[in-house]
Amino acid sequence: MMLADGFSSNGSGSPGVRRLGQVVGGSLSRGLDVRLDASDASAEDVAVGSFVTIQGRRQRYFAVVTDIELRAVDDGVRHFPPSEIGDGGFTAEVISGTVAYGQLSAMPSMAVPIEAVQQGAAEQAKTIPEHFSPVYAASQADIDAVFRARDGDFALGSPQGMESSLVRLDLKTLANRSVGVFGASGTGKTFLARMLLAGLVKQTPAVSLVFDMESEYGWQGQDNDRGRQVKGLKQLFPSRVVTFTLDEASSRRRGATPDGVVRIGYDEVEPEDIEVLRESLNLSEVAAATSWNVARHFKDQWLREFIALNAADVNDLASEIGVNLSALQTLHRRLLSWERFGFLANESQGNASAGGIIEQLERGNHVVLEFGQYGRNTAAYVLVSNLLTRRIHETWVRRKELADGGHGDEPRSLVIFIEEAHKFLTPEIASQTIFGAIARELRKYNVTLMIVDQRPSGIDSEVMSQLGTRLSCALNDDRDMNAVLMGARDAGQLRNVLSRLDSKQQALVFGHAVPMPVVVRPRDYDEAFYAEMGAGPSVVVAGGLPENEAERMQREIDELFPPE
Amino acid sequence: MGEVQPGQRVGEVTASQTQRVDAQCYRAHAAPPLGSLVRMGSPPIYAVVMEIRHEPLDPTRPLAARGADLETEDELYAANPQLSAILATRFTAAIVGYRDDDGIRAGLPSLPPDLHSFVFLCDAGDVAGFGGDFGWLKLLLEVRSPASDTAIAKLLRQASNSRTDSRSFLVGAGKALAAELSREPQRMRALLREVGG
Repeated sequence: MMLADGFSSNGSGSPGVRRLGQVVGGSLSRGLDVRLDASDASAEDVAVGSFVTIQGRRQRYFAVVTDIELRAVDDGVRHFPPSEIGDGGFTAEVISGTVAYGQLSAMPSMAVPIEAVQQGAAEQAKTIPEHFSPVYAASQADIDAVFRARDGDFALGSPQGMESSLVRLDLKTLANRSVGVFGASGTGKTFLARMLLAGLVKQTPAVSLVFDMESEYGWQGQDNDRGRQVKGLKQLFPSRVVTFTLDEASSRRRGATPDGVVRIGYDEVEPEDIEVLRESLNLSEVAAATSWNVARHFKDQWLREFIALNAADVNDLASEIGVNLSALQTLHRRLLSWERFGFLANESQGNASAGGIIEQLERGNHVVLEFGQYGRNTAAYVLVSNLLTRRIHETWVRRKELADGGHGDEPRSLVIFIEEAHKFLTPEIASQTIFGAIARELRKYNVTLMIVDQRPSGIDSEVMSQLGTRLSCALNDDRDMNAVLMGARDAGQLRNVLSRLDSKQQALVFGHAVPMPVVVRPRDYDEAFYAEMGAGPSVVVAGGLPENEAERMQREIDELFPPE
Repeated sequence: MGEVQPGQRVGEVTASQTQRVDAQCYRAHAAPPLGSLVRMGSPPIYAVVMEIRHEPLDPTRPLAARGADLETEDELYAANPQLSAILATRFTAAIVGYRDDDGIRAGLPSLPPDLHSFVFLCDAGDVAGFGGDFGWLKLLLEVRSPASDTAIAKLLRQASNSRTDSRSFLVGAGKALAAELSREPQRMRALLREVGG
């Protein structure tokens, strides 16, 4: 009685608070067993992933439901179900909730001293509530106490079953460590990722570089479910986002005006890029390694000269540099297709493209690189992102070291955004690629990754365990689910939650940027969101640019007088 | 001969102990029914009839069959008027509650009823007084005589008849029984079948 009174006297004991049951056992590591009340709570009322609060004697605990179980005191109930007794359902009604009852597993994540509930000073739970502590469905005030608004927080969506509450992400923390966004195709991970990027632009000093495979982040994206176009980052933040393209014609066809075109000289491609592409190009280890010999032979312009060879020349070259002929032939055949890569330029570019991107990033602008038609070619995507990232990372490392030595400012926090991350970060090549290095070195050089992938099991486990915050939509494959949870606290319990996500519009979020694991229904990516991001309503001009006058002026001012 | 009416005096306490009383009825065959609530003493102590016995008044003198040449049982009693003096009806009741200054309490009184206390069959008002919580059911479940569970079922059904929410009353009582009998599933199921059936 006293506990219940205490509960209602400190703010959130609104009539909406519904008692579910009481704690009857459990542990901090395994989670708490909550027996559902006989009369009021049905197992059908509580969804896995939803929030509950537990009123201990001194602390209030916030927990996530990780499993729901039907239990019976006596096994006979299983063998002779009471429904078989011809008493009009009386025995069944009596037995359910008493001898046969529902039980929740709840993982206590946060706790707050009862007297401090209203200040919302919730911290990691290091204790568990006493036996028979009452358990309630979490109220909006409870959610707000855990996910309370702070500067730099970003409203991602609402918790499961609580449409009027908001789950907030701490974006500064998010950008401090690498981030993973996972989900099978069609589950909404692109929307989630786009929203996170918008939040980064709007609310943090960090800059991002987006390798936009399907061209859906820069100018505009496609909402396939509703058959409509949605605004990309450039439309939301015309003065802070710069788009580059590999495929100018494609960008213009889609009504976008890229701010720059990326060209990469053949001389910029190095043998280690080929190593990274081994899987994408379907090359044997030997064939990939042959590129080192070829490069040593031809020097800077090795790729252009190698591709220009005919079959007979390749035979001669094999014997001249002493490599396996068939390996060299395979390498030649695969690289020949690169002649169709319009972004590869014969003349040396002197790293101009990387330089242009770096300049924008240093100004504090976010950069989206659209791949256009080349996005469909994994080799092109991996090649360009790997190559540019290597250059940019080198610059950041240099700046950071200079800054550490007292020369110049710290480089801005940079978030590099890649899709299809398993192509870069398979266990075989993660140790060699620049992305693997960035993931492992944490934020030593102020560079972190945001990786978006539908096959997390293909990503090196060491990289996965370095992800600070993970957001996962529904996944179909057991291995993928295990990979997402790798190295996470309470992975075993979250596994249940993860496997029960709706196939759309639900994501499990856990890690540094949220105080406790939470199932979120992401907010709608619509006019209201645009407005909050500071963009005006869509101005639909047939075939034209939905950039309004004020935005255009601001962009031009920014271009003339770059903000420092 | 049998029927006794609610509120009627039916007999006297002939033996009592903390949990149970034995009583003899004034007339042979005129016992309060199995599972009925009776009260005795002042202030009253309440008990539930768990077992009824019709037997010779003197246990050392067994009855003999007497009607071999008669057509009906009524003729038998008419031909043997002494029978009413040598037959006895006795019953055992389990104590479930008592009245004190605060009203009816479920549980055992500190003293059992006095010998020769008059025993009355309770009326609907007394029965309704035992609705609320079902703590007293535990006392009845401890009796464990062959008919005790049937007595419990009859009591609950009788109590439910006098209520408007009879179904939810029975379900509530059933849940209390189920909680008490969680270690005795067979007994629980049989008892619930009687309560619900």
